[in-house]
Amino acid sequence: MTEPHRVGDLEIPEDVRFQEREWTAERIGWVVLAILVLLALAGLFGTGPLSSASVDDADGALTAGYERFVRHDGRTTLSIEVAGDLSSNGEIDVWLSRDYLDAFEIQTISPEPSDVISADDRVIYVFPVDDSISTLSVSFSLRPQEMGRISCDAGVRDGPSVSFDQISFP
Amino acid sequence: MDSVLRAVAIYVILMLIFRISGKRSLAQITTFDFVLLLVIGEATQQALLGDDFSVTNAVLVISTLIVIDIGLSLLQQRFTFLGPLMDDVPLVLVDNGSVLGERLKKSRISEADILHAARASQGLENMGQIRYAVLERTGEISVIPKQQG
Repeated sequence: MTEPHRVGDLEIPEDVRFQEREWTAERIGWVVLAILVLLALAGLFGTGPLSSASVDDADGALTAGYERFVRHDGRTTLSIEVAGDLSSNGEIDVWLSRDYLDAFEIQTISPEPSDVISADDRVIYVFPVDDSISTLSVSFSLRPQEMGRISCDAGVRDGPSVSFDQISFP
Repeated sequence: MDSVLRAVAIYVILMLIFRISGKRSLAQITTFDFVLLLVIGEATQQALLGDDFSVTNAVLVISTLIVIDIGLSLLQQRFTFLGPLMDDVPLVLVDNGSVLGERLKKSRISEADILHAARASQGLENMGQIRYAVLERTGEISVIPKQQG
């Protein structure tokens, strides 16, 4: 703590060396903030080119579109696309792993499944489809409830499956 | 990305709106002015944060606003013509004892406002004691008293 000393007639705890260092620190801080904002603009903290991703299964019959980076208590959308020929009995059953569902609060599912079946390690959503449908698109609107790395397994019952990871920021 | 874009949009829109509304709106003189600013704050919050309650979102929005603020002030240093555009210019209201009525009317200020500022800042009693009164960029009125004797 600088003791007050005299600058002309002023009794004032001025410390020019400290001030110079503070100005330097400020300018470094500005650069860091600007980089942070630019990275956020690119999608590093969710929603944006850096964050959007999708994963296919080997045959391309199942595609999951997700965001690599999400925010805790924010919003994110998981889209699942299934080729029409994977339907059986006029239905396509899409499952999500229970661990994944524990990490999220489901806000909406569009279209609405006609049935929801619980299994030990997964939850199965039943979607009725028209015979002529070529691709079923389902959108899960999710609110992350955990922070850190979240792993997801998703798939079609008795069909292909995919896995991906997401990182949830606090 | 949406956090940053929302923050930029709100900053630009608010700045435009407040510049258009004139100097006095920021000065919070009356209860109504105070309420107005309070309510504007509430309306802005919803647009800025949306329904994203994460700490990261708040940090990004705040960082974006600060970066814009610092960036604009640096730009103003470099390009001086931006100063008046963004921060307004001061306006003399009383020039050497004479009240400039036209300017008062256009700025929507009354003599009572000037006298209030004279009492509050200088302890002056009447218009005769005011040498200069200036409507500052911030909406405050600063008063320079006539020299004694």
